[in-house]
Amino acid sequence: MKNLIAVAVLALSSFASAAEWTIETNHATAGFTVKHLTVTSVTGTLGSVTGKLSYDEKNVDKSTLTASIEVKDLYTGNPKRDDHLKSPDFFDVAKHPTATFTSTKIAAGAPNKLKVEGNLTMHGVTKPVSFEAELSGEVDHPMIPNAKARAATASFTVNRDDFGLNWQSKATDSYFVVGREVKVDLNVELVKMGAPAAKAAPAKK
Amino acid sequence: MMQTLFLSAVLALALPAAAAPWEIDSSHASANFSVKHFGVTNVKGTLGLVSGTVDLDAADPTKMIAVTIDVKGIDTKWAKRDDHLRSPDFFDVEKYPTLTFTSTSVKKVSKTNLKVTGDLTMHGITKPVTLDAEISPPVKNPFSGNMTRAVTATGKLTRQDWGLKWQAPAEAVQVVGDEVKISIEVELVQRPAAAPDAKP
Repeated sequence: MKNLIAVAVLALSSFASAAEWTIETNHATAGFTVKHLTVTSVTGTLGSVTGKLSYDEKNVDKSTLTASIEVKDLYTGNPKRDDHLKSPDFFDVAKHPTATFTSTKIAAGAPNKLKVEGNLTMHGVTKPVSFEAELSGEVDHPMIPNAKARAATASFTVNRDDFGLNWQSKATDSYFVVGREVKVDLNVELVKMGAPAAKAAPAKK
Repeated sequence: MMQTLFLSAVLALALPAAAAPWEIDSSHASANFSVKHFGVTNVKGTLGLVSGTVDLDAADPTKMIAVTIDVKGIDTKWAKRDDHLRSPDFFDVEKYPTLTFTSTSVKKVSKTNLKVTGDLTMHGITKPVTLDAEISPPVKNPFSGNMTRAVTATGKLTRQDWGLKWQAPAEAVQVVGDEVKISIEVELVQRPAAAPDAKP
């Protein structure tokens, strides 16, 4: 109960002018691309993406972004490779099923763009990453009354060994077989709920 | 027509000579697509297994590139949507489990870039599409010793052209976009002619 009050107070105090956008998981993907033999771009996706953008358009630096991604459901179209990626050779998903991102700084960029810095925790290792996120305009959500939808896209590159994902094929002594750089592409839909309809029944209790 | 054929043949000859056709390594190949949701979000997905051959030395451009993609294996990270995409509202995979692409013209744009036009048969309908392709230099696979190279091909199409017309009823916005962006990443392997009784 005390927690509930604390959450309510915090919610009221910190987000007075920020709009709360929630990632719509069914329309969100975290894709990745890694080079195979230095030439082929092998693509895959991680699992469900959830999170929130608290977006203050007037004071962009007051905005915050948190997201979490189910690494344990990664998919590259090849079950044998997926199992290998889930194993302790790579993500060790039994121990580290989820990756999380928490922004440390958000600044306005070019029109419709946000410069986002934050900490990415993956495979138990936390490192700073930064990227530019592009926001689309708002549209009316056709299925949810009074709700708005918009999209956000962002791309960044990480070196996988920074997160302890340093598996190498024994056939070569470099990153020839599986590249070191991993490009991450995020495409998410954000939904902002509108004021509840007047005739909505009050919540019980 | 003749001129195009001749041009294609000359271009094909100018490309790096290959002793044998290149085969797509299905384990390192993906057919990715992206469609707008509500006109704003890029919803992404992949089709199933990609297989086929590439022989840019073929005299006949229709023999240069032949690709088959399993549509049944479509994956967009939401089982309910995937089932809908497999249904007769969209791909009707019971009737049309695969799509095929056959090149009709391959033009060299630069040392590494090609403009590939071909017939795409999908959902029982055949229409031409043009893709921009980039081909890597060959490298040697350290496991098999086979020469290996990569191709990236991108393009876009209008799904209604292949009879994929379903739309959710909504006035304010377009729920599922018409334009589909495609991005194909494949690894090509050149297998040496198999010796009789050769063990892998």
